Amino acid sequence: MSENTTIQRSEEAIAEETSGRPTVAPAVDIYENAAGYLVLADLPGVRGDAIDVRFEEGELRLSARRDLDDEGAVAAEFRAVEFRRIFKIPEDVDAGAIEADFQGGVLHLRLPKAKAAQPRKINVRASA
Amino acid sequence: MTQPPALADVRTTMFSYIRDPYDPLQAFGLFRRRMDHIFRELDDVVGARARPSTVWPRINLRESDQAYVVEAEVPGLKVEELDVMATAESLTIRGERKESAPEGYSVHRRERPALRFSRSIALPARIDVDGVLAEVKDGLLTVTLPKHPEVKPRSIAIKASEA
Repeated sequence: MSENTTIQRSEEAIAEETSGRPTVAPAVDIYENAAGYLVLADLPGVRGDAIDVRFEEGELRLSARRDLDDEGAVAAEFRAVEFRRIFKIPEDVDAGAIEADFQGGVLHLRLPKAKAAQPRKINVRASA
Repeated sequence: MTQPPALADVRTTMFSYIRDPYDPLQAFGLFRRRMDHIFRELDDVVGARARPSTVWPRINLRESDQAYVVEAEVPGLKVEELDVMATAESLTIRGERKESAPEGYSVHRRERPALRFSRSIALPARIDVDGVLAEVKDGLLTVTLPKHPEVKPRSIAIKASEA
């Protein structure tokens, strides 16, 4: 479901820089149940209004900008980055009903499956 | 009925695992992947820690005249899941990230494992332990450690001596 097969643990850039900051892939968990998919993405240090999630051409595109105050930096293991990740969305997802919320540096994306794709119990009528 | 192999096929039987005969460098990629695989297996046998073996959480240290500021990436952690301890010259951050797999879901991909962590850093100079402040916002822990009055920079008045 995810386009990235490896994760840049060391925050190595995965794409050309366009905004003067490296682009890195956030760590994600992807879960599924009968009703839909749940994607959790770690975006520590990102403000809620700096996250952009869009659904285009069958892909869910996540990008988020992290600004950091680096005045007087002595040692740095993480920096200001552009988080970016693209997910290929299975056809059973109801794109119009995708929900996103951001809590404590973790983005929760809920992708409900279309009604037609959900398991349904069919009543069997016995004819007399 | 089987067709006799075409000339190109005969030529590449030796490297039958190379899919494109016009890209001999593919063999190197394949070799590297196989070696990676062997090393991963070796890690499992020898008991090396599974990924992520990198330190967690990642930390930044900043300094101003008045204080040191330590920032740590702790996405998804709540205040009560973090333990911050300071001595006059060190800071320790401890905690546990719980499993985030919700009930009844199957896993497609997991890059955010549950983990227990503890990191200590030695501070470059003494701090005022009573004045330490810590807060968590948007998955970032910020600990402000005011410098001890003894180590704060002071400007020294220079007297002009009369020669």
